[in-house]
Amino acid sequence: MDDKRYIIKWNLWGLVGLCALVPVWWAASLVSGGKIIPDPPTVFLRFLVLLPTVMWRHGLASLARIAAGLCLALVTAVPAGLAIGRSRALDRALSPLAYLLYPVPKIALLPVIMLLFGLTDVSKVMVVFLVLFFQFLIASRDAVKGIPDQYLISLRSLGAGRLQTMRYVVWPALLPQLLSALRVGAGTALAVLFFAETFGTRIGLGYFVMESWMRVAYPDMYAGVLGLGILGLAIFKSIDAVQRRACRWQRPVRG
Amino acid sequence: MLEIHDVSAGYPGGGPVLDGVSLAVRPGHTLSIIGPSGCGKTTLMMVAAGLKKPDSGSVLVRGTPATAGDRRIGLILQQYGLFPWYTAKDNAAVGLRIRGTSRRDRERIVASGLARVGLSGRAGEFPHALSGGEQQRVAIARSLALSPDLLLMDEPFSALDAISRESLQDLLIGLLAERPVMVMVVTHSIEEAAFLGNSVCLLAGRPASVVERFDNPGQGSLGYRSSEEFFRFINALRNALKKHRILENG
Repeated sequence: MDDKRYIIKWNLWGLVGLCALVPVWWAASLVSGGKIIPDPPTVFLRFLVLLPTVMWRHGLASLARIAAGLCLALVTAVPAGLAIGRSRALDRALSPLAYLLYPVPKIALLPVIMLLFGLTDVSKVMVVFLVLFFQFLIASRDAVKGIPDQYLISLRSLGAGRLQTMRYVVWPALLPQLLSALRVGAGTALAVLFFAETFGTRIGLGYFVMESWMRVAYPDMYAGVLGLGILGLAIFKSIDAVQRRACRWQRPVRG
Repeated sequence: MLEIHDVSAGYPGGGPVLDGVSLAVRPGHTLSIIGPSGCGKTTLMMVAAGLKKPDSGSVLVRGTPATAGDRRIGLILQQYGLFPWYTAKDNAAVGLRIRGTSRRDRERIVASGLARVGLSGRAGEFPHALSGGEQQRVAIARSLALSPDLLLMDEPFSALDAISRESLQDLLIGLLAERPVMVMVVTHSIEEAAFLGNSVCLLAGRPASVVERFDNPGQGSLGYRSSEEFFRFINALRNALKKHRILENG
């Protein structure tokens, strides 16, 4: 079966899976009387009305913050991870520190970040950055440590210098690990961003959901939650697409 | 000429591994190095490839020292050293890419190299889809694409099943007949050392040195494997291994 047909087939099955959620949601709506949990058509309609008018701006703002945090994490954590992975001394000195900071819930650092960076966009980007930084740092370190000696010996014997070793061995070995780390980190980043967006901003899906809640506009609030879900889905699907293209040598990711 | 003069080498904290090893290989000739596991054969390979500096002594290829990434030297490892993220074709082309060969020349050289090792139809496959023997064929094509003066092979066929091993040994004999390359093969298989080497050196001891050398004038044809001379030579090697207590008297 060719790749395209496979993808269509998997997406169709994905749609079937998503549709299975609707009756459960509907039942919950009926049981609760429909006020706290509006029924699916009400929310879908509200979503369709809100998306082209106001919600797209909120979605775009959240996406931009995630993208900025992601880029910042990539350009800092990957070189640091590679350096730690290649130097035993750096590994000994810095890995315990990374292990100490990695499990600290980054949301717990939100007050500190806000004190440092104020109620600005920077603080929101920093929260996303911190979530992804340690994921990328540890993935890069492990990827470079896990490269078998034979690859490096082969390449050195072929006359490769440092940059060529990066290009032909380190980067290809790193990429799948990085994408896996991103897959794990993206969910957490989105959750933490949601919380961060409830302070000191008037834009972002987090703000939109909380603000709808305050107005007791439950259909709007659920439409916002739906928007968050769709944003997450788009991010995960994009990661899968990149992996399918860039890591053809691995068992293909179907998603 | 490959000239290894009085080379001693070791690792920090691990003591000396090689002690006063001297060897020479002429163009068009193959030297087999045989010895027990862990005797320092791979260290000798790394020194010969210029990838490890000897503590004393010298390694000269055509009169000048071997250096890391030396363009005159090709290295083939036991585990092939193929990159899982490249197809057979791209793996075979890596050395040429590193050396800046134009895409057109690269494609031409790689296509003819893969055809020569019998893998034309599998150029687009990734290593995980190739058998061990096919992977080693790609590794051979990759090394030969660079037209090395000296080919170093570290237990190249020891991870293969007997049938693939024989067909690859035959392929290698054929390939070497086509070019005047110097070859050094490290192996722990007596038959392989005898089939591939114009001469065979026995490496033994801790630290290791060359304890015996044999000329193998019959080597070079595919029919040699079933000749009486081959079996006589193998027996001579076996007796030498017993004499040096590398092979137990049974």
